[in-house]
Amino acid sequence: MLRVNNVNKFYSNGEEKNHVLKDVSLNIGRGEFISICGKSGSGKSTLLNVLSTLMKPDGGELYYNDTGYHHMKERDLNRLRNNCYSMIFQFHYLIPYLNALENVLLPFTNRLFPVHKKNVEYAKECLDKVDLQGKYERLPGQLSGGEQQRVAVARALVKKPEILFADEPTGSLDDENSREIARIFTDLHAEGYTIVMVTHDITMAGYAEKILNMKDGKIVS
Amino acid sequence: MNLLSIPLKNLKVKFFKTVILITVFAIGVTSVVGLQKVSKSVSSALEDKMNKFGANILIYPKSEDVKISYGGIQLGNLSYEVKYLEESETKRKIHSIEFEENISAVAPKLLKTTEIRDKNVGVVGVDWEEEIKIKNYWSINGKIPESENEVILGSKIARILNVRAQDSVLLYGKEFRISGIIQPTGSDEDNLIFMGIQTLQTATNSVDKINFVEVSALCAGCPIDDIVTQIRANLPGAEISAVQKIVKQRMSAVDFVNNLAFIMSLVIVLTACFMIALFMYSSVNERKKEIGILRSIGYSKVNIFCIFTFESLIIGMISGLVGYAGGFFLADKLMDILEIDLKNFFVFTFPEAFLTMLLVAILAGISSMLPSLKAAKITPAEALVSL
Repeated sequence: MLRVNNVNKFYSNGEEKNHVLKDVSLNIGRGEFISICGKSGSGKSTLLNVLSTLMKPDGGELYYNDTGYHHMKERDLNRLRNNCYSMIFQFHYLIPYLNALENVLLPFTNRLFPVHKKNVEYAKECLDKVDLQGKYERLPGQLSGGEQQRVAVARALVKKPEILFADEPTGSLDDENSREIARIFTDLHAEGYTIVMVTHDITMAGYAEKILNMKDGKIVS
Repeated sequence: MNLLSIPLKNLKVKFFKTVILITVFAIGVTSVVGLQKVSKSVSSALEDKMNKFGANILIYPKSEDVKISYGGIQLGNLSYEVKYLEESETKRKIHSIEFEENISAVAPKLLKTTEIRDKNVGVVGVDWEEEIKIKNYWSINGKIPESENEVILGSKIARILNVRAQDSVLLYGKEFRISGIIQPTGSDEDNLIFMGIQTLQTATNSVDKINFVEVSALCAGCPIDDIVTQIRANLPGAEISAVQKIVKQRMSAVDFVNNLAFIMSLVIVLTACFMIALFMYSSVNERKKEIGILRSIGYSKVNIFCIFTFESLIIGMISGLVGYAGGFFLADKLMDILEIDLKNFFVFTFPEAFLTMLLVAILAGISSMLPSLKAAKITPAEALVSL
C-alpha cells in the first residue's frame, strides 16, 4: 500500500547540512499497525512527516498504491491529505473557536457548499466512537486534555482515510488517557485501518503489530 | 458549515478586536464620505455663488472694426457697418452642441439708442427668463417686467430721467410702465433701459436680430474650452470669447475644495488600508498553527487565501455601511457648523450605500491581499515547525 525507496532528507542550518533520513526504505501493507520508535533526533518524526506529505523528501521515491507522490503537484497532494491520509499530532491542535463537532467536520469544509447532512451524522458517529457523546457543542477549552486528543482522533477518522499517521499521539497525555487512545487505536486497527505511529513510549509501541526502530536517520530493525 | 464559517466564527470569537477594527475603519470611511459630501455641497454652493457674477461666454458677430490709435493712445473703433446675429438660428446652434447640458443660460441682447425728453438713452432688449439666470446679482426695487409694456431702468438713468418704479416712460412712441429700478451695480447696466427683446425688435424693425449673446456655462469640471470650440464650429460667422479669467477663477476655487477633500480622503483611506493590512498580518502570525492544521488536512493555498480575504471583506462591508451612515451624520453636523444650508444636496440612497459598502469591502480585500498571500504560502511543515 505504501512503498518507500531510498528516501533522504536534509535539514539546513546555515551552511551546515544535517542528513536526517538516510536512504530509508520500507513497505507498509494495508491494515498494518506499525510503530516507529527511536531516540530523540533519530529521524522518526521527519520520516512520518515525509510519509504523510507534510514534508517533501530531498531524494528517493514514495508510492501510495503504486502512484508516486514524491513529485506530486500541490493540488494532488492536498487531495491525498484530504481523502486518503490523516494525521494525529502530539498536541490536539484543535481550532479553539470551533466546537468539537465543527473541528471534526473541518476536512469537509474546504469548499463553499455546506457540509452534507450524512457527513455531519458520520462526524457525530466518530465522536461517539471516541466516547464523546453529548459533547459535540463543547469548545476545546471546555474539554479535558484527553478529550481534546480524542476529538483530534475523530477529526482524523471523519473522512475514512486509508492511512492514519500519528506522531506521539500520547506524548502530552497522562497514563489513563494514553490507555484510552491506545484502546481506540487497537479498535481502529481491528476495523481494518492502516496505522503508522511514531512514539518513544514502549508501552504504546507495544500495541502495534510491527515495530520499526530508527537510529541516526536509518531503520535499524 | 462551509469554508466561510471559519472566518465568520473567528471574527465572532474575537468580537472586541473586530469591533475596534470595524470602528476605526468605519471612522475612516465616515470621514471620507463626510468630506466628499461636504466638498460636493460646498463646491455646488461656491459654483452657485460664482454663477451670480454672470455669463462666461460672449458671442457676437464678426465685425470689420478698425482699431484707431496713435502714439499709444486708443482713439476708439471705426466701424464700417453694424452686424447682427439671427436670434433663432444662433440659439438653435448653441443648443445643438454636444455639451448642451452644461449650458445653464443663453441670454440674447439687442442694443438700440433712442431719445427720452431730449436725452439719448441706451435700450437693451433681453429675454427675461434667460437674463434673470445670469443676473442673479441684480437687486431690483420693484419687480422684473411681466408684460411687454414694462421695462426696468438702471439706477443712473432713472436718476437722470427722474423716474421711479411704477412711473411711465415714452419709448419709440409707446408708453412703458417702469416695473422696477436696478440698484447700482457699478457697471454699464446703471445707464441702460431693459425691455423685452421682442418688443424692442418690433419697435425698431429688427425682428430676429440681436447684437450679441451671453452664455453661462458652469458646472463641476465644466469643459469651457470644449464648449467654446463647439459653439465656434456651429457659428463660424460669429466671434466667441470665453471670459477666461472668470472661468479660471471659478474653476480653481471649485478645484481647490475638491482637491483638498480628495487629498484628505486619500490620506484617511491609505491609513485605514494600512491598519487592515497590519491587523491581517498579525492575524496570520497568530494563526500560523491553525493554518498548519488546515493545510495538513488538505486545505489548499486558495482555501487559506479565501479564509483571510473573506475576513477582511466582512470587516470592509460592515465598515462601509456604518461609515456611509456615519458620513451623512458628519456631513450634516459639518454643514451646521459651516452654516451652509445645502442639506438637500445629499440624500441617503440605498444604491449609493451599497456601492460604498462594495468599494470599501474591495479596498479592505486589496489591503489584506499581501497578508492573505503570506498565509496561503505557509507550508504545513513550516507551520508545524512553528508549533
